[in-house]
Amino acid sequence: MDKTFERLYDRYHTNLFQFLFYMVKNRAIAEELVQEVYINVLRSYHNYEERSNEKTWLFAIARNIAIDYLRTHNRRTSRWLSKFDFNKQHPKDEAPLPEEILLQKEEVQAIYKCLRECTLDQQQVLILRYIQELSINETAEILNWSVSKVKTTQHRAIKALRELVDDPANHRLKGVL
Amino acid sequence: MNDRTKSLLSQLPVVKDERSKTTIYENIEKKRNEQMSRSTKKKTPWIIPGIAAVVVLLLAVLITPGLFNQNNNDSNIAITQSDSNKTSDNSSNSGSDSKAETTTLAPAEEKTSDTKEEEVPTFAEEPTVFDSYIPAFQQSNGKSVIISYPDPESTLLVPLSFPLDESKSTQENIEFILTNFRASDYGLERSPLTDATFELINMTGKETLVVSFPEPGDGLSSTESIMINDSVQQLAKSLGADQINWQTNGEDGYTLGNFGNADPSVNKKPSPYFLYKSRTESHFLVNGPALEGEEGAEMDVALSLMKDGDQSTPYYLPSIPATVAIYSFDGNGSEATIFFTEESKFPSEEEAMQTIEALMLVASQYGYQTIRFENTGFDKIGRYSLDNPLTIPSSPNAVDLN
Repeated sequence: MDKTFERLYDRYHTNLFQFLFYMVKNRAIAEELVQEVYINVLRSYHNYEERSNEKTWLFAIARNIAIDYLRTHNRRTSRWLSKFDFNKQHPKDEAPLPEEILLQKEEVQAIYKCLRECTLDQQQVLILRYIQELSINETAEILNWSVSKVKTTQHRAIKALRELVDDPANHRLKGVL
Repeated sequence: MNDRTKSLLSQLPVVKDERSKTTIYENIEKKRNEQMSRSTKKKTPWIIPGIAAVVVLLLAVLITPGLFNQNNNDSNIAITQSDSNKTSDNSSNSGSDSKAETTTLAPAEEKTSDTKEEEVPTFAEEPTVFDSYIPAFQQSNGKSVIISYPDPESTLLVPLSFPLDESKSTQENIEFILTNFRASDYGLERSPLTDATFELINMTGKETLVVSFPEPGDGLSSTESIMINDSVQQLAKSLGADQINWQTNGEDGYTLGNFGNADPSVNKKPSPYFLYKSRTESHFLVNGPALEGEEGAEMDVALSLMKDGDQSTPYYLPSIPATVAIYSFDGNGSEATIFFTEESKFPSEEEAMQTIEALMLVASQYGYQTIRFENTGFDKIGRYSLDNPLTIPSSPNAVDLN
């Protein structure tokens, strides 16, 4: 087994997987994507500069892979649905809640459901800051944003999430730009 | 309440990958090997095209002599045809010639129509006329100049873009617009710049808009002062001026009522684009108040305002309809991609046009030059084909005086 893989796995795998899971909200896809992350990392590890933070570097790769997946998936679904002019429903809305979430109290389940109604930018910030418990600086580094943008997005994301939880009827268009 | 939301977020459970380290590594190795074998296969990509090229060459060798003969006939017949057009009574061609003419005329006609197709702009390039919305001025239409007109209550200024005739001076261009454009036709009032004169000169290496008012502005009300200042600012920006030289009757300096001396700097702070509906039901894009400091630093503040409208000014309507929401905004160099949520639905093509142009114009203030839109529900909106990134228009509300 590749030593780099082994070390990265031992140190970061749980967090990386969890991050990807909450980004795509699907265990099987998260499993695929985390493998993609390792393939990319092992391919480009020689380019990694030790001056930068290994953890944020890994998360930035994972984030890009997740975003690529979501955008491709989003575009494909949208084109397919618009082609047949179905009443545009989001397929992921019908996806059953994962077992880990079902075991939680209702309020936590509601937060999970509302999280996926937030914008992609807001979701990233919420996951990195409150689920992964990363600092604002680490989050800014991963997202390649300014610290002030992380703060602003975080503020809006919390507000949007709270409004979504308070008024679930407005899920469709609340909490987005 | 916010703390409660944060606390609930942190209570989301840890979700673990149930596969073993070895299984994951084996999967990774398998995928890496697949990728490597695919790339190895790609190392000899020339084989099939190579064979195809040889076959094509062989066919060409066999066919070419025949083509040359055919071409010779064509050219002869083309001349014959031309001649026969000139002399209508010269119709005594042999039967075989007539037959050949018929067969060769078709390609000649096709060629002509091809050339025409190249010259005529595609449908996507043609401006679309909407019932109420006045689309933006396109970069491909040359330079434009912005003259602003207030609404009847003087609560906002509507920036209108007119084509700039570069063979004429700035003063001549503006004078022509101010004389010939009837603002009342659009439910707007007289421009605050009507009595001023303008000149664009190079002053100590800086493009300078010299604006001279015939009377001192000491007695202007605050509304009048704002209208004049904002109109001149818009004009200066549209002309690419670096600074403004305010004058009173040809003398340096101009006072804007209680605001004091007019500011010579050109305000380049970003501002959101809202929708304004005039009493004649014309729809225009208008600039909201400039975004200062941190607010102006990130484009999402402007986007939020465009989604919500400005509560302080009821005339500033949201330029993003309530049925539409932005899922994400992603900037990459000079290109940005805006994804709408899948549930978004524009009520009409006209409203989609208003929104995408408002978004492009606001993005241009943040240095973006092309914008890609996803999930609009349209393949084409007005002149824009959404398969490709769109080049941002140069300015809002294009008015053609002709």
